[in-house]
Amino acid sequence: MTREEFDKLVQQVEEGVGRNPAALKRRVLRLAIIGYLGLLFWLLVIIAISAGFFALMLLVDTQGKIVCGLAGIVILFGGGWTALKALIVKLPPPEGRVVIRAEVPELFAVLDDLQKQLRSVPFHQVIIDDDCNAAVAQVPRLGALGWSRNYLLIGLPLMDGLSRDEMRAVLAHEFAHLSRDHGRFSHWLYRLRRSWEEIFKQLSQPRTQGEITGRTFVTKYLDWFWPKFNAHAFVLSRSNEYEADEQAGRIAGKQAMASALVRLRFLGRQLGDNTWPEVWQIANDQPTPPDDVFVRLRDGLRAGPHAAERSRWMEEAFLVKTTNSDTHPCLTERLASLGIPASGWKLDEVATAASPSSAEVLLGDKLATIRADVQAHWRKETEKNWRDRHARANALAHRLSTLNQAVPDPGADADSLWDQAHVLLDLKGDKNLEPLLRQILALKPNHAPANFYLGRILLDAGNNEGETYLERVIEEDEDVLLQACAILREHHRRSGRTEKIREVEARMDRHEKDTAASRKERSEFASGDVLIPHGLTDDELTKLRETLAADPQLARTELAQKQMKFFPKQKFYILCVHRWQAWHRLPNADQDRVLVNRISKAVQLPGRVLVIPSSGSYRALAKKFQHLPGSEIYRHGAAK
Amino acid sequence: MPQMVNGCGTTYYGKKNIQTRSGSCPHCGNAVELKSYDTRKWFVIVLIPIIPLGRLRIIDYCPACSRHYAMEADKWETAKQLEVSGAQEKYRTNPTAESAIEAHQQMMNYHQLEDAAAFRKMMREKYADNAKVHAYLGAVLERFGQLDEATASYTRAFELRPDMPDARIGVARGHIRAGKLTEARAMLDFMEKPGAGQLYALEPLDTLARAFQKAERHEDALALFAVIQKELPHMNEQGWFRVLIGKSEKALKRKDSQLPTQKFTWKRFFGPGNASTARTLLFIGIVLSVFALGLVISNEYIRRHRTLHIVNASTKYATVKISGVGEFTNLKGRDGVTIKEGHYQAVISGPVQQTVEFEISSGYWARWFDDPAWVLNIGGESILELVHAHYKVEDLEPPDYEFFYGESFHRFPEVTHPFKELPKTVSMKHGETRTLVNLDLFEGEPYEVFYYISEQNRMTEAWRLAEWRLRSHPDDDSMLAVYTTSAKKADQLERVENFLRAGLTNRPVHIQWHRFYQNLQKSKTRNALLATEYATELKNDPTNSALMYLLGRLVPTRAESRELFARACQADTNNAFAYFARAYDRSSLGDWARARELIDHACKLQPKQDQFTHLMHTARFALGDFAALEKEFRAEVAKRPRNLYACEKLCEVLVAQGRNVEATPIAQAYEKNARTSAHPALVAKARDALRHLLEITGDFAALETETLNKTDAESRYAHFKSLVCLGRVEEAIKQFPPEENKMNDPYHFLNAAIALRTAGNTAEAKRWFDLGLAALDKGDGDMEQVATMLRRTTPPALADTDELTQSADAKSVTLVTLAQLHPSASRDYLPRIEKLNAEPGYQQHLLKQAIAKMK
Repeated sequence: MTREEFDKLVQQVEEGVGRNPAALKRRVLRLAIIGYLGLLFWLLVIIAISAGFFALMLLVDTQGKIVCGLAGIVILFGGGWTALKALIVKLPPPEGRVVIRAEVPELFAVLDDLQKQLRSVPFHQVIIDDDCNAAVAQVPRLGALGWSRNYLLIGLPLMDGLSRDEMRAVLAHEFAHLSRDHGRFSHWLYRLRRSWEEIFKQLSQPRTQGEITGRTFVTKYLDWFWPKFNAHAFVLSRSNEYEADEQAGRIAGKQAMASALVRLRFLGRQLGDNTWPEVWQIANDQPTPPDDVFVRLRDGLRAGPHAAERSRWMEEAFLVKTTNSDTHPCLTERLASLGIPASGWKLDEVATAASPSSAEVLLGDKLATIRADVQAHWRKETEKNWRDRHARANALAHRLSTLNQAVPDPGADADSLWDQAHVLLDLKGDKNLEPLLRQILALKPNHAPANFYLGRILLDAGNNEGETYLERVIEEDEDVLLQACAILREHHRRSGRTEKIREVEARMDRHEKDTAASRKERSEFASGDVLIPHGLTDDELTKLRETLAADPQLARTELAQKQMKFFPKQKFYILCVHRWQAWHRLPNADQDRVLVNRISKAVQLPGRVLVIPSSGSYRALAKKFQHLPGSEIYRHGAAK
Repeated sequence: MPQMVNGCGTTYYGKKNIQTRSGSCPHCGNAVELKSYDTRKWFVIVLIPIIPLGRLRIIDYCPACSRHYAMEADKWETAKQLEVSGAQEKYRTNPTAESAIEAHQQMMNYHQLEDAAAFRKMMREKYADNAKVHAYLGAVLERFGQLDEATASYTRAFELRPDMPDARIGVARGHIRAGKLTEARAMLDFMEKPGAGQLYALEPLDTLARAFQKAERHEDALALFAVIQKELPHMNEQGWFRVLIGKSEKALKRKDSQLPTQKFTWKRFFGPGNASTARTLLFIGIVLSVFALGLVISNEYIRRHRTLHIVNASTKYATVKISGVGEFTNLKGRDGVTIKEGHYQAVISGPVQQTVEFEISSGYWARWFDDPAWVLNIGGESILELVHAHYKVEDLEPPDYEFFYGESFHRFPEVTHPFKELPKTVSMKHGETRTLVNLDLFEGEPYEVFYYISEQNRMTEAWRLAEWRLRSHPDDDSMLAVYTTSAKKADQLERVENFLRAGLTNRPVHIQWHRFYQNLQKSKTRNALLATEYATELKNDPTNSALMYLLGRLVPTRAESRELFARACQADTNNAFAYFARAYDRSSLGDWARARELIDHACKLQPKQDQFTHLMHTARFALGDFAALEKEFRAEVAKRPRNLYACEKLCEVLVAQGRNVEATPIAQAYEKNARTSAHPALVAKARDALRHLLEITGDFAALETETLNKTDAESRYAHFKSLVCLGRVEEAIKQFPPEENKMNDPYHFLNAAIALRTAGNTAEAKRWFDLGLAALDKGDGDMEQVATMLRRTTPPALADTDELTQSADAKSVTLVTLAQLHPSASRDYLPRIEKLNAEPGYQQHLLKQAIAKMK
């Protein structure tokens, strides 16, 4: 299903069953059950076979009973386990620093208050982690049977960035998910999605030799089921978000909720675009992570982005429109649903961390200890990646040094420059790479990777010039179209250009849909294809005739073009050759093939050329030339 | 790939447009000449192409492993032209190094090697300073096996860009091939930097390490392996990698390994565990499960559909009621009943009243693989024949026979053809041996089974069979005969005596049973005891004809016997043996007319008794009933050309009528028929009819020639007889001395004595006469009587000789001997002798000669 079709489906759901949340939930539940039945197909087959064995036990003799019983058990448990493995998605309990009531009474006071007001189920554990987010996690103790443990996850960077009231609003949003039972249901849906994603992953792997598979069947089932389920689940999730926002606004105050939403945009981007990359740059020099990463993060949030970034990010935050690539509505719509205007926000107030932060207020004097523990946990989790990154940086640095030593004048060679740029991209990121990429493009304007990266860097910086570079790379190399379009779509999303987003997505859809067909169109000729006049210029035709006249065995030649659907600019010529043959001789396919081979090597035309004989399996195609006036371009007698 | 089994399947025929290139096979890895060509795929039967299945382009056919890629030739041609022309056009419109590489790549992909070589030349010139182009050329040439050219390209790339990893790797590979390992390592130094594993594939490092290992530079090898271990820790789990490291460590005799200890995990035993393998296994598992389910169902079907074979050898219909199954009526011969496995009780009525408990069962797995058979043998009466037939292409083996009888229920573990004929031929592979097992009812006479078993020296089993048979069929004369004869031979008289004696009191009296019992030993004492017993019995049952007859055989005088035989006939005109006894008596007196009347009656009552028919034939012959006899024997010979008795009798009848010429073809026809027989014994006796003919026609000279230098006992005896009748008795007894041959017939000795006396050799005649007496002494009571009479110094009256119980031919010998011993009384004997000497042959000739001499 294309993005456009999915958008239409989402719209249909929103305008139909989506108006009634209870009905929507029922519909999603029904689809989820259908999804599980699809997943359980093999399990059902196995159960049916083992049931067959168990049923036989009623009829057979004692020895037969033993054999049937054993076979039934082996098949049921062995096969069942194998089939169930695809379905079981383990949700490990979330990790982080567990905080308790005695330790952080202020935080728990807020939580108690929210739980009371929202009549939510209590959390079994409250965990402070390293993410800039707050979330509810429900982990079933008994797997598929349920009996969940509820976890509240609060990111330390989030607490460092938000004020107490904002934090309370965010927590209220999460409580609302739990109180309305969003959590359990969404987790169930999440597990179903994960199961299917596992299957998608397997389906995307190339077929191994000798593999027995039911891919065709599964793919057909997925084509029917997955978009339907996804669209409904998507609408349900979005409706849950609005509902949770509304509840949070009612409990914690709409202004606090709105303020949290706006500030979160800055906090997330500051961490993602600036602070975390800076932290990871340290890995280039240090083999182990520093001990004060979360202090650096806090400081980065307190300092906030540079002035230029602040205003641009603010502008982009409100320009972003809701799309069907994210279940969360856009900021403007979320604020609108709270009844808070999108304008009037003071940059200095929302672009940096609140002071005092909710971490300081809610965690009190335990903040330092908790920060150290979160740091220790993060360090433990990250250590290997950090080491790998450090090693990679070492290798890259070595590569860079050899590159600089080996190439006497790297500025003169686009390939050498690109090698350098490629290493730097990996080593130091996008920043400061623009001049080097421009240098490459000055030497080689069609350099695809340089165009791609320069386009991306410029668009990330809000510079629309990047679009030109990405368009150029798309024209050069259709294989990167999807990646380039994804960058363009993100750029348009940030710029709030809905129409452009639709255009880009339509392009991506077209590409995905047509790539295989267009490749096929360019690489073969089918009986249903249409021939059109060759359209060669006189000069090209004269040159071609000279080439053909040089072959004494050639009696007659016809030329036409295949009509192309997907890439009409590309030319596909078909040259039909008739071999000189005495009337009393029998047709000779081998000699025809030799002639075709000779002519195909000699002929040069402005496009792809297929030389065919007028006999054998090409006879039907050769006959098509009879109905195309002017297709005969050469006749032996006439040439003489 | 085409598939062919025994010349049938698919194959390629024809090779056109052949292109070869050196390279390593992508399948087996061997460095070979890979061949690409156009061919046609055919469906073939016995290697003859029948249906064309399309033209194909075979790509990179490996002569070592025969694996290759195949594509429809037209599709290949179309793709080749379009891709190559497309890439060339792209290059023409945008002549960059990248598009040149693409164009060249397409040419190489479609094996346009000549065009690619020309294009490559152009690339080298046009992009002489482009390291990327040279590195690409190095890579593609290396892939296509053009290693020298590849090294040159890499070297040029390295000269232009010494930092370029591809160029360094290519040059390093060249060094490795040239054995310059230190230089290669220097080229690959960048791969030894920490983190290199994240930027480059470390396969060249592995290749170099192996090269070091091969060159016994294990320190260097281990150093490189250590780099790989550090960069790619998962390699430590790979078995082949661990083996490589272990090899170098062993060579260096290192105590501590650089390999980490491998943690135990079950996953290692179950392969890589990738999803497609798991899916395939799951799918195969389901297919196997369905198959297993089918097998279990088939097993259950087999269990519920067992065949119980019911055999009934009796002439009466049987009814069998099987518990839980039902009642089966009118059972005769063989019938099959389908029942499920289990324990059953069968109540049998009809020929016997019997209740049989039996179990039909087999092992669970055996149901698929074994062919058991269960047989309910009503009354245990049927003899079941189990034949193991061995089928072979060569060296035919006779089948093995086993016989089962006496039990009411039999289970045979393996019977491939229960009550079905075995195939005459079976399709088999050369050298294969197959054994098929047939179970069937034995259709022949039980005594034939006795013969078969006794021929294999399984006498105990044979006697058991005979006793089983005789218990239920005491009237089976043939079995009685073979049983008593074999037991006597094996000195098992006591066993037979006990067995037969137990049946003496059975009623009605089975005369043959008693006769065989009486014949076991014929001493006076035993006969007297037995006579007492019979007399007692007869007292209890005074009208019992059989007892009268049997007592008549034991009483001491012929007069008593005659009286008892006559009473027996009066008491029961259906007592064939009584009539036979009287006919026998009359024949020994030379009263052939009366004998014929009596034996005629006996034969009508029991036409299948051989002794009756023989006496009947002798009587009719003696009475000159030649025309009727000829007709009967001719009919028999026409019906059974291998019947020696009928042939000989027919010849006798013809010769008796002076139609010797007609007799010869009869004997010759017999010989011809006998020679075509499969039975070796019959073939060995093929000339017996001819010899008999020579004997009865008196052509002993021809018989002498016929039997000259023959070493078998029968030929030697025939030779002896010919010499005797030719008057060369001394020669005859030299060649056939009594010490050498094991003949124990008293009349053979007496005949020889007669011949010797006729020839005037009284001393030798005396010796042979004594031998004859000794043999008679060893015989039964009747013989003892003969011996006593022959020892008398005074000539017995003819009436005295009438008391002797002897056949006509034996009595004629006795009388001739007496005539020679007592010439004074010979006149009395001679008329009787002439009457008795009715059976043609050697003895008739001999006695005639003696009589002639006496006259």
